[in-house]
Amino acid sequence: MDAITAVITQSLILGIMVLGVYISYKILDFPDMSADGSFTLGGAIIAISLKAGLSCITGSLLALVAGLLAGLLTGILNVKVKISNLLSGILVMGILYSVNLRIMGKANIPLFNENHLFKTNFSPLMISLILLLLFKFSLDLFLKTGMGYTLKAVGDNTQMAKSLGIEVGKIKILGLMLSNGLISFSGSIMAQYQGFSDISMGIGTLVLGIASIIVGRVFINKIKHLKETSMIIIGTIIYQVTIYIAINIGMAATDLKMITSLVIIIFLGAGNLKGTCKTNWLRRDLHVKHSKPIKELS
Amino acid sequence: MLNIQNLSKSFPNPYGPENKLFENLSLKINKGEFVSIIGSNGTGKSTLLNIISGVIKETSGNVYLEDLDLTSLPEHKRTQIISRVFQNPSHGSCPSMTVRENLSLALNKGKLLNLKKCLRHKTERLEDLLKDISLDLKKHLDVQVKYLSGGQRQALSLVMAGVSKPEVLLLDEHTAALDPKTSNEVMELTNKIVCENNMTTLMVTHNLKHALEYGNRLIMLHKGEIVLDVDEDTKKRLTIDNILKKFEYAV
Repeated sequence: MDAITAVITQSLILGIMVLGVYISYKILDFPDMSADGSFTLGGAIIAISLKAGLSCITGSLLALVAGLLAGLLTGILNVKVKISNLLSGILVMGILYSVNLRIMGKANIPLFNENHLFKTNFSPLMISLILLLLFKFSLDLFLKTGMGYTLKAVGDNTQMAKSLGIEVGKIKILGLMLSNGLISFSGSIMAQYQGFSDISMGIGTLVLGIASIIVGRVFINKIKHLKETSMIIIGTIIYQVTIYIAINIGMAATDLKMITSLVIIIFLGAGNLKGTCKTNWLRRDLHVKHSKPIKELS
Repeated sequence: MLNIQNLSKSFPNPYGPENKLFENLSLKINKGEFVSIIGSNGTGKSTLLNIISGVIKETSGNVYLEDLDLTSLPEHKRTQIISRVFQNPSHGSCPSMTVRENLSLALNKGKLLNLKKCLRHKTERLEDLLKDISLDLKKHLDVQVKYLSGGQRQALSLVMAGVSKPEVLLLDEHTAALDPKTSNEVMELTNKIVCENNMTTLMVTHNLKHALEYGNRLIMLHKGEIVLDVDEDTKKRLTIDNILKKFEYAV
């Protein structure tokens, strides 16, 4: 039972990161590799903040701000310097690796003895759930505003966004900042939960985020009127539990990367194969937000 | 009044002298005029619209809207006062958003960057915008645009372009991808939107019938020069044959 609680808690913390990846990967259509660096950045910032005697809340907020700056850098490289989206992410990831080592001073900082977030009396599960829901509902509200719709429009059809008088570059930078801010914040909470910050803790963050989004969208698509943000959080949990089971049936921890890829392939394959069989009409029906009028269409 | 002054545009050519498209082109378009622009391929019709809307930069010259020098403004500032409908129906709307969401974006044009709720417009208001469209858009208010046909999307793009009451409307072969019947319907809708709002409109078209039937001025471009410029009265007396002759002469 303890192990399951731990897996769920971990999924909820990673859920904040997946919300961040959702903004860049899904909304902006921008595979932002700097996510890997931002996640560690959050861990690095919280480690030195706690060591310096700052409270865990201040430290986590500092991590959020540092993430915003990392996103700003990626955005400027892509929009102003006109480097392609994939490359600007990779470049920032490289920069952040060195920056994180500079911040931490060494590759691993233990936090067991610091007065961190999970030293309080509340259960870790509750803390991570509250934090995740806070970010989820804020993001849901934000996406309903004019600015949120602008963000979606830029990712959906850049040409049209331009026609609407939107400064596409600025909106992209804004989206990347929000994305990396959330990822870095998630990294800082993760470091506190696992009790240490490590330079390699962010490796594979983007892939993990994308995997969770894919799992969520493939499986949960069947439930109507469920927001995409809820879908991907459930996807994160399903994905983490799958990995947990895979390790528990005897796979070694070193097989983790392979398992990750296999899980993504299986879930993607399931989604694509389904499209070719009879349920095709059903899937189409479900993609429409309020599915009544579709019958008149077809 | 849209005033194009001494506009020149040349494209670099690595194999020889640069390709000059426009050389000191000047054109005045009065407020509320609905101008059809025709001409064979490669004569600069689309380039002219691209320069006005700021997608490509002119080599020299100016474009004034009343006293405002458009050439000094960045693209996103220009698109706040200029609307455009493209030839490709998928360029004008967001495919994964519903018709309602797309219309709301257009209604909020120029004041999108705030934290107000985007979908605050009443359903009646939105239905009102779509009311006379024979393509049944009204019924599909909550359908994602990617499930609509090209004609429906183009009609939606037009409504979206018109709803913000732009100073200038640019139509770049906006009926070219549609079947003859739908293209006529979209043209009817165009005429209605333009006349109701008295918008200065430039329409590039290859459909000579449309060019003659709609609008109150006809311009024919050839190799970057205006070879024909007729007003409403003369236009009424022109036939498609007259223009076809002109085409042969121009080629």
